[in-house]
Formats: sequence, C-alpha cells, structure tokens
Amino acid sequence: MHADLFTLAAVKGVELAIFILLFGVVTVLGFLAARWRRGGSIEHLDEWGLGGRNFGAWISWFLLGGDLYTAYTFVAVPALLFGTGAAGFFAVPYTLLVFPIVFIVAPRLWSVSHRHGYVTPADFVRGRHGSPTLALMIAITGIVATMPYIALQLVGIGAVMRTMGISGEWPLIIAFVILAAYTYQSGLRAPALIAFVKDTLIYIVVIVAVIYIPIKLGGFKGIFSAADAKFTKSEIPNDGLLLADPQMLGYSTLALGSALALFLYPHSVTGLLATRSRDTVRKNMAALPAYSVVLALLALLGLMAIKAGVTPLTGANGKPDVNTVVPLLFDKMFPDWFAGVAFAAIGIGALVPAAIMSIAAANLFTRNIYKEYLRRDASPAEEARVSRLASLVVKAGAVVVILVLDPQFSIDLQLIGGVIILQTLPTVAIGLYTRALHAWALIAGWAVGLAAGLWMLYDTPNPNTAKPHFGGAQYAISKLGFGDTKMTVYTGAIALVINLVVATVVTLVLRSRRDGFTDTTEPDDYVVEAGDPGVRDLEPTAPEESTVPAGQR
Amino acid sequence: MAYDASREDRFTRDPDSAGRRGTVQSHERNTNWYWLFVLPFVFTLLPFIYNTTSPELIGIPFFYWYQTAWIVVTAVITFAVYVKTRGS
Repeated sequence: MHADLFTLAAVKGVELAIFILLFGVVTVLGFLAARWRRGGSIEHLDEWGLGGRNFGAWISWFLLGGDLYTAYTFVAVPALLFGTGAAGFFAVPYTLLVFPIVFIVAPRLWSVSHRHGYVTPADFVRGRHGSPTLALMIAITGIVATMPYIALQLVGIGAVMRTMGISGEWPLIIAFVILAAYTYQSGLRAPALIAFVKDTLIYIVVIVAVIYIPIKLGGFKGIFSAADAKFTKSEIPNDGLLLADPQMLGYSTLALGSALALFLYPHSVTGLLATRSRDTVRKNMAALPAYSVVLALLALLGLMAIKAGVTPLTGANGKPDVNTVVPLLFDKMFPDWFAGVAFAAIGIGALVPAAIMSIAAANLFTRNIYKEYLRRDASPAEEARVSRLASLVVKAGAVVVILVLDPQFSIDLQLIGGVIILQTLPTVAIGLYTRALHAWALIAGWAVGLAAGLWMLYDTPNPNTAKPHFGGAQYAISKLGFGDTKMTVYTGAIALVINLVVATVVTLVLRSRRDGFTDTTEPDDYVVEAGDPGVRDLEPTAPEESTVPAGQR
Repeated sequence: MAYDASREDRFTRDPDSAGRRGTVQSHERNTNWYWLFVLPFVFTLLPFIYNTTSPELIGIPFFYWYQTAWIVVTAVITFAVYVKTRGS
C-alpha cells in the first residue's frame, strides 16, 4: 500500500505524453471546426449555437453519442457498481428506454422548431403556451440543471489527472480555458468534430478493455465471485450482485425517470435540433443503442476493479474518491501507452458534452432571458455574440464551482438537476401533444413539483456515509405514509406525479380562462419534414455576402 | 442564407405563410408499429423477472447479461419500427 502511494505520487510520463498529444490534436480540430461545413456567417445563433442546423445521420450519431454519454457517466457508472453492485446497473435499462421515448416524441419537437426557428426548448414553450413567464421558468430550470452537469465533467478529467499523478488544479483550468476558446470560436461545430475522435477512442478502449481485462483476471466467473465476496462482507446496506427486494421499485422508477429526463435536458435538445431532418432524428434512435452496449460493458469494469484489487485514491476532500476506480484499473491493467490512450478518451469525452452543455445553457440565456427581457430588438448577430460570451461565463462558473466547493456538492447538485429537469416534462413533452393543461396550471405544477422534489432530497439521509441530507435520489415510501416498508421510489418520479396532479387540478379550476395565451403553432407544424413548405432551407451554400474568416475577428 | 433577420416570426403567426401552413400530412405511416415499444418497457422495468444469477452466460450472472441483451433487442425493435413507419 505504501509503495503504491509512493509510485502514484510520481507523474507517469508515457501516459501523460500520449494524453497531451491527443488533447493537442483535439484542440487543433476544435479551432479548425469553425471552417468546417460553413453555411452562412457564424454571426447567427443557428450557425454558432446549432452548427447550421444541418448535421446528417453520421455526424449526428457521433454528436449525440458524445453529448448523451458523458465522461462522467463513463466514470461514475462503473464507480457505482464498484460501490454497490446491482443498483448501479440501472444505467442499462435507463439508456435503452431513452430511444423509444425519443423516437416518438423528439421528431415533433424537431418539426415545430424548424418551422418556427426555435433554438431552445423554452423557445418552443413560449410559442406553444404563449406565456413568457412559463418559458422563463423552463429556461432557468434548464440552466440550473445543466450547470452542475458541466462541473461534473471536470470531475471526470480530474479523476484521470490524479491517476496520472498530476495534482493541483491548474491542468483542469488549462483544459477548460482551451475548451472555452474553441467553443467561443467554432460553436457547436467544435464538439461535433471532436466527437469523432472521442467516440473512436472510447470504442477502441472499451472493446480492448472488456476483452483484455477479463482474460488477464481469469474470466468473468472469478470477477463476479470476487465482487460477491466483497458485497457479502461489507456492512453497507443494499449492496450485492443482485437487487434486494425493497430496491426493485426504486431501480425501475430511477431507470424510467432518468430516461424521461434525458430528453428534457437542454443539451439533448441542442443536439437533436442540430440535425438536418426529422428522418435523421428517427434513424439515429435505432443506431445510438451501440453506445448503451458500450456503457453496459463499461459498467462491468467496476466489478473487474474489485477483482483486480483497486483501491480508490483519496480525493481533495480527504475521502476516497470512487470516481478514480476506472482510471486506476486502466493504469493497473494496461501497458502505459494504452493507458494514456484510455485516459485521453475519458478526458476528451468530458470536453464534448461540456461544450454542448455550455452552448445549450448560453442559448437559453440569450433567447429566453436576454432577448425576452433585456433587449427585445436584438438582431441575430447580437444573439450570437451574447451567446458566445454567455458560454464563456457558464464554463467559468463551472470551474469556480469545482474549485471552490467540495466536489460532493456538484454530485448533489447533479442529483437535484435530474429531479428538477423532470419537472419540465408536463410543459415540454406533454405540450408537444396537447395544450389541455393551462399555462398557469403548468406553472403551479412545476413550482409544487420542484418544491416537493427538493424537500424530499433534503429529507434523504445516506446511511453509508452518515450524511444527513441529499443522501441520494431514492425516497423511502414509509415517509409518505404507506406503512412500514423498506421500499424506496425515485424522488423525481414522486415529484413528477405531484406536479401532474397539481397541473390537472389547477387546469380544471381555471377551465375556460384562456385569455392572453395564444398558441402560435399549427397542428401540422409537428409533422413537417425538411423540404416541406415553411421549413427553412438550411442546406449549406457558399456564403452570399463576404464574411470575415472566423480566425480574424 | 434564406433567413431574414428583420422578420422574426418565431413567436408570431407569419401572415404570408397562412396559405402554406396547416396542409402538410404526416410523413410517417403505420404508426401502430409503435406498440412494439411496449416490450422493452415491460421486460426491463419489472426487475423481479431477471433478478437472479442463473442461468449464467460465460460466467456473467443472468441479471447482467439479460439487461445488456435488451439493449440489442431494443435497437432491433427501433430499427424495425423505423423501417416500417418510414413514409414518403
């Protein structure tokens, strides 16, 4: 153990060299992306914020894969299995159920957004429900839910850095400054181009890892019995190779709730709206599960780490940081050069979603706060300028959050983020089908659901760490007054049910008072495809007027 | 680009477009195929179906390989539904 600590304190030269090399390649790509597939001037939010809105099936597959399967997921899910076993595997039903849901719902959002030029989910809410207040709430919810998600991407890079023996915060700051610079320059095209590198590396690393590591560890049989032995011995409740009976409801509600929430995150919407056609969205939903297979295989790495005898490094707060488990496993099992490739995959994997998330949050600010409340007559060029600056602020904010606050705080916030973004479901997802729910009722449901969700999260202790509040997103049913049971339910699901009940009741009370809320969408807005009347032609063409090259502004 | 900045019609009905809107039919057909999507929900959201270790597959307990297999099955279902409902 002592010797272990000593060697880990030293910087790993080969790993670091390969990491820096690949990071450099990606940085160059990020800046070059400004000139890639250029349509009109980048001084327009459709260009900077949605990459010209004409990504085809392949680019979208890489972009959405890079967007939805973040580095944090790739680090945290195996860490969950390492810590608790079966309960962490909820990520598999979660990420497979996303596709049917998005396949059915998202094309409607694509169509209405392309006909009306909506850039954010709150834009749609503004047009559909006719209420700027409701749109503002959706926008703020989106920004608040996204910020900690960006901060968590830094946690992923940090785990890799620490494994390579690099301590201190300056590497994180450098990585994010570079990221901020090329996102500012190239907009959504930067993560789209980098996603090719990221995903290729991830696929190579995972395929090698799930073949090579089990062989080195003597097969899956031994891996699972080592994990079983660990869970049987530990005193933590609710861990094990299988779910305990009271855990099942919590497992499936968490999987379903997370699947419903994913599509509501602003960065998912940004990725979906950047596609060229409705057909591209649908086609991608059949192809994206390839990433879920990768995630499932990666999750098993958490159990392999148990067999390999990995001990998590101590984090900045003095507690063991389980997020270092996967990097440590790679470090232990792979030759140095390949461990470097694997670390680069995780590090670059953090940059892609961080870029898209900051663009999505910036677009929300620009479209639904700045333009709506501060400068009504802002031109598209001004919108693009504001959004670019806002993306810098968002990323700076994420860095400050990670540096100043305990990383645990970001993880808590991310937990809260999932619960609160789910509260936008009645307004956004149900709104895509019907206006039956009154705008004020949606606002009331959102507020009550949010309050209930936050209160339940506050009221959840974590028995494993003796943390009294924000101990997890599973709420004990017994606290709701349903008898003496150990069963738990996903907090977000309870809050969503409360939200829907309030929204329905208030709608019934307010029946027939629709004055002041105009729906500016038509029924066929939800089914149109690229090329139909009223859908803007966004095929890439040579710039009509002379635009200043992106590098010389 | 075709987009004219001076006429922001995102949140207003565009008077010129009154004639061309409201007339497009859905491009998808046979949407009854969507019912196939009930399958993954039923078979992955009821954990008591698969919360066992046996039968194992190359040493992997049932719980783990069953759910992983459903990713592939869902992908196949989604592709089939995509092909069957793709219209003009």
